[in-house]
Formats: sequence, structure tokens, C-alpha cells
Amino acid sequence: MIHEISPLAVTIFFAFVAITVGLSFYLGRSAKSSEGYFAAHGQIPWAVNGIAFAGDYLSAASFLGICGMIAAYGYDGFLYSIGYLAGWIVALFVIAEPMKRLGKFTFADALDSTFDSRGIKLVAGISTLVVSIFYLIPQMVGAGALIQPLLGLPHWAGVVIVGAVVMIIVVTAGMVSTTWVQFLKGSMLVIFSLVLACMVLSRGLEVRSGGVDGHVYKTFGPLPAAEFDALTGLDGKALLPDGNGWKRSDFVRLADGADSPGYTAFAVSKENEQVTLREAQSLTRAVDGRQWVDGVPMGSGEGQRLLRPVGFVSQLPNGESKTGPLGPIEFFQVVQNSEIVLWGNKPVAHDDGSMTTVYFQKPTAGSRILRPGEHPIFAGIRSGKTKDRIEFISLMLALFCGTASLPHILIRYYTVKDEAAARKSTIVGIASIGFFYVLTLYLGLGAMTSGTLDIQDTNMAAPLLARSLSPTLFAIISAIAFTTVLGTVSGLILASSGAVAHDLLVGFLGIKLDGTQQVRIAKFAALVVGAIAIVLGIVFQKMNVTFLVGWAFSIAASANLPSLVMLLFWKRTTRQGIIASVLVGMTSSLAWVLLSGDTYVKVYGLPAESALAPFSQPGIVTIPLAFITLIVVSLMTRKSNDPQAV
Amino acid sequence: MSEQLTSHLFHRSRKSKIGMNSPSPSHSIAAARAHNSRLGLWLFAIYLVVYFGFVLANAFVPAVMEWQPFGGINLALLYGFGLIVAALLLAFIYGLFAKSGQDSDSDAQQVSR
Repeated sequence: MIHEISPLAVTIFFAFVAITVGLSFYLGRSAKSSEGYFAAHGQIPWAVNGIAFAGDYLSAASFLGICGMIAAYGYDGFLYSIGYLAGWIVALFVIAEPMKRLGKFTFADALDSTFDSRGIKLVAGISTLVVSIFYLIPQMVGAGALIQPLLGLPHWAGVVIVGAVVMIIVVTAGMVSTTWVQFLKGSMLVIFSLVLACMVLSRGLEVRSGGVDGHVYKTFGPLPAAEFDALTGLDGKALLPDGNGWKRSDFVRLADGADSPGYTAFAVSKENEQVTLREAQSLTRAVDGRQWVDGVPMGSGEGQRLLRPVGFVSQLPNGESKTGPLGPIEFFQVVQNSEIVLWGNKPVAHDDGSMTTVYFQKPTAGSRILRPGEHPIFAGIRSGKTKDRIEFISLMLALFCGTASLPHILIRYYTVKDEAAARKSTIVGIASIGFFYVLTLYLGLGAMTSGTLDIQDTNMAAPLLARSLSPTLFAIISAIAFTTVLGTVSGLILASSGAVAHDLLVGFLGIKLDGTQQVRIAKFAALVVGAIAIVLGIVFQKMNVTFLVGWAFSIAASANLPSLVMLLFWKRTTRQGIIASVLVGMTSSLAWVLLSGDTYVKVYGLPAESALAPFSQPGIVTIPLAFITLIVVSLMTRKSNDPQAV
Repeated sequence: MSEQLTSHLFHRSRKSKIGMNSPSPSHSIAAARAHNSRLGLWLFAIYLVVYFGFVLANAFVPAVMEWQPFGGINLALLYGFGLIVAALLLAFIYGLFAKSGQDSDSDAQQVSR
């Protein structure tokens, strides 16, 4: 789909960038020391820090990814909301206060607090870098993907703008400006999501036969199978013959007319010897990248066609055609008893190497939309196979354990003055993040029924929902979506620069640096990491990289959480135990995801069956493995540590 | 069990403070930490049970999620929203009953600097 550019969106976005950069320069005057750069002098008010948690944590994956997944599949996207929020319970009850008490600037500080070991600083620094870079890549690619529809600039421009702005934010005032950017972004995101959700409810639901472009999707049938097999034309139009990959059992194509290469595809569904044909959309891609929609060149000019916007209710309860404003609970009651047209897709391979993707309608009962198991990732829970069940539990476990082990989240505990402030800011964080996640279900279902969905790109669901409500809101939400990337990337770059300067150079290599020198090195490291992130963001443009966030969660949960928890609760934990646990957790989870079926399909293009890992989500194996490693190694090395033990 | 864990935490925190060449924390701070840690672990245990109840129900009896106990709202929604509300509720309970054990601008601040 090609989107129009909104001048208002451009203005709002650049106004936001100007404010944040201006703020950074203003605050930069007071952040020259290492305390200022890494931890904002520990003087951020807890309420501000709490909202900044939301700004740090609610990445593009949360806002765009979850809304998009709910818009395309229903409840399943909400499972991520639930898991991502649950992780904060670990952060509040187990990690928050000790983290503040034990550490100073980085995650490694806390892990190393009782040992003063170069080995711990090394492994914790590396694990911070690995997790942060995996988290960075999808954010940068997301920035590039967003800028095209939102501001009309090419992919690389989005990546470079985000990279440059973030480098300015981080280099001028480190944690001080990063915190305020995240605070601004977090509050705007929650407020405007609430506005969107209220507008979705007050608009209510309406039965339509197509998207907002007014196109009416045709349906033929049901007709007896024998009659369908003998069919040569329909509606006064000729049926194009099978061949070149097309099979009548899946799709038929009605020719537009003798003077046009265009056609309309119909998906064939057969039930009890009765055949129903539902209008579909098709997109053909040649090897050289040229694209056709329904047989004619893609574009908005004469003789060209675009994919149509989708997302509509096909049936409301009691045969109603329009509900009017709905209450927050009533909304679900109505959806539960409605039928909504979701879209599936299927590839058709042609002889010349080109490929057509046919997008077809899937009228789906509301009762199915509001239960887990429609998305391919979660469909396994209905398969009854043990492997699929373990996969699901493993994913939910990684989400639960991952949050409280993400380095860019953990360093936020050093920006407040004491443990009580750490606790209070986590509670504010949970309240704002939880509230946002409640809204995701309304936004997602609102987008699902908005008539403006982009069939190719579910990530655009939230901005497109806004467009269906008001052009101004579209501009604002678009700008927020882009700044969402800014907030999260700032936190990641800061965490990485701390790991390089504070953990690896000063801590591990033992280079003697005073505070000012350390800040200078950290700023330099931030520029290097920023430059690397820009390059990776451009290199990975064509790849679907959203799953990298999942990797980051699994690796963080396996590498960081076990050692942190055991350090707090098991007094026989040794230095060697922590080093071994971080190393084993990190390498085993990384190796597992690299050898999993998911990665085989998405990255190497190999069949999932040939994967070595028995299932895709490593958490359920690698998290306990890291715990066991720590216990075994600690018990084995106990003696050598005895003199230091209290 | 939790008594034991608390005492570990208590020891560890004392030790780390000493390691940083600072005066040992006053009794009230140590007591507050022990109290918070115990309270936190209890609340954590409650949430753990509720969360993994949800996960296991989805994994082993997904059909139960379609059950509509009342008001035409299915269990998937009730439980899902319930988990978010429970997180908020437990967080507020913790905030309400956790102790600071010090004046808000005490020397704990300078200790870590």
C-alpha cells in the first residue's frame, strides 16, 4: 500500500525532535560528570522516572507490533501485552530495590557488587552489548519502515535521522536527556492511545462489505461442486485458465476484459460439496522487483491498481447494521457475537520465478477472535501436541523473566535517589505500562474493524486506525510512533555505551580513567554503537527482524536473571558461579535460537523440519540451565572463596 | 522458607555496604529491607501462581478460555485483564505496605555515591 504524506505529521515530528534536542543541549550543561552521564545524578523524581520506564520499555514492538498483531489475529497479540507486563512484577518485587542498593551505573555493577571481579564485569558487559544490539536492530529497521509512509522519505533516511537524533540526545546529556525524552514519549504515547481508544468506543461498530475506499467485495455461491467444475465464466466475465502455478482448487481468476491484463481473484472454499467464491486481492512480484496488483502494474496512475484497504465487520449481533457508541465492556460483548473478515494469504509460484501472494478473506466469528490460538505462533495450543504446548509455556516464561533482565531497563534504577524511589517509580511504571496494555486490545480491535488496514503490513495498524478517525490524529500518532523509536533507542545506546566504557574498559581492562575521561570514552562509545546501529538498520532493511526482540528477551532472561536472583537469595553464590551462569545462559540461548525452526525459515530460508533445536523458544530449557550452572559451579568453587565469605 | 531467604538478603546487603567502605546501615534500614523483601516475595508468589495458572490453562485446556462465566465476556478476556489488574493491585499493595526505614532524604543517598 502507498500512503500519502501528511505535512502535519512532518511538522509534529520535527517539532518533537527540536524540543528533545533543545532540551538535551539545555540539560547537557549539568551532566558533565560520570554520575550525571550514566545516572542523571540519581536526582530524577520517582514519578518522572516511572513514566520514563514506560517510554523506555514501550518500544515500536509494543505499540505497532502488538496493535498490528491484534488487528490481524485478535486476542493473540494481547498475550504479548500480558507477558510483557507480568515481567514488571519480577522487576518490582525481586529486582528493583536490591538493584538500586547494589549498583552504581550499569547492570554489571550490581552483579559484581560483592566480588569485584574482572571476569564478572567482562561477561556482564558482553551480555549487555549482545542483548542491546539485538534489541536495537529491529528498532532501527522499524524507524526506516515507518518513515516511508509517515514522512515520505526513503528507508535509509529514517534510520539515519533516528541514529543522528539519538546520538545527539545521548552525547549531550547522557541519562539526563534520555530520561526526559522517554518521559515525554511515554506520556504522549499513553495519552494519545487513550484518546484513540475512546474514539474507537464512541464510533462503535458498523457492518460493511469492504474497506473505507467503498469497494464492495463480491461473493458467489454456494454452488454445487459439479457446477463449479464445469464453470467457464461468471458474472459475464471469462475465467482465466489454470496453469503457471494457478490451481482451480485454491483460486479462480475472472478476467477484467479482452483489452486488459487485469483480473479479479476469488478464493475457493469448499464445504459439503458446496463451493463458495470470495473475492480476493493479489500481488505479483517479479524477480527484478516489479510489482503488479491483480495483473496490472502497481501504482495510483491510469491503468494501475493498488491493494485495497481492509478490515470490516461482516455481521453484528441480532442482524444490526450499526451499534452506535459502545461502553468498554459492551464493546467486547458485541465483538464476541459478531463476524469480522480477517485476511489470510497464500503464495502462488510462477514458472518465470515470480511469485504472487493472494490475500483472501477469512470471515471469522468474534468468539474465535477473542480467544487465543488464531496466530500461527499460538495456533499450536490447539494442536494438542506436547511440543507446541512447551513452546507456548517457554515463550510466556521468557517474557516473564526477560523484562527484569534488560540492561536498558535496569540502568533506570540508578537515576533515582534511593530504594524507596526505585520502588515507587516501578509502581508508576507498572501503572502506566499496564494501562497502555489494556488499551492495546481496544486499539487492535478498533483497527481490525476500521476499514483502513494495510493488508501487507500489519505494523501500520495503529496509525491507520488513527487515519480512519481523523487526519490530525493520524499526524499525531504517526509522529508518536516515530518518536517511540527515539526513546527506546536512546536507552539502548546509553546502556551499550556504559557497558563499553564502564564495564569493559575501566572494569575489565583496568584502564584508569577519572569521571570526565570515562564520560568522554562513553560518549565516544555511544557514537560508535550509534553508527553500528545505523549500518545494521540499513543492512537488515529487507529482513523481517521483529523476532530479534524475542531473541533479546530470551537471551536477557537466560543470561542475566539467574545470576541476579541467585546473588540476592543464595549466599553461597560464588564469582565463578556467576561468570559460568551468564556465559552458559547467553551462549545456550543464542545457540538455541540460531538452530531453531523459526530462524531456519525466516533467516536461512531452510525448512523448519531440518532445525536442530526441538522447538523455537529456548527459555524453558536455558533459564533453568543457567540456574543449575550457577549452583553447580558455586558449590564446586566454594572453597576458594571461603576467606572472603562473611 | 521466606524467613530464610530474607535473612540471606539481609546478610548480603550488609556485606555489600561494608564492601563499599560505608558505615553499616542503621537497624531501621535493615529491618525495612527485610520487611520489604519478605512482603515482595509473598506478593510475587501470589502473582506467579495466577500468571502460570493462565499460561498452563491456555497450554493444556485452551477450550476453557471460551467459557463465558457471566455477562457474555469469555474467560480469556476476564483472566487476561485480570492479570493486568492484579499486577496493578499487587504493586499498589506493595507500595502501601513497604517500609522506607529512613527519612526520604537520608544518608543512604550519599552512601552509594
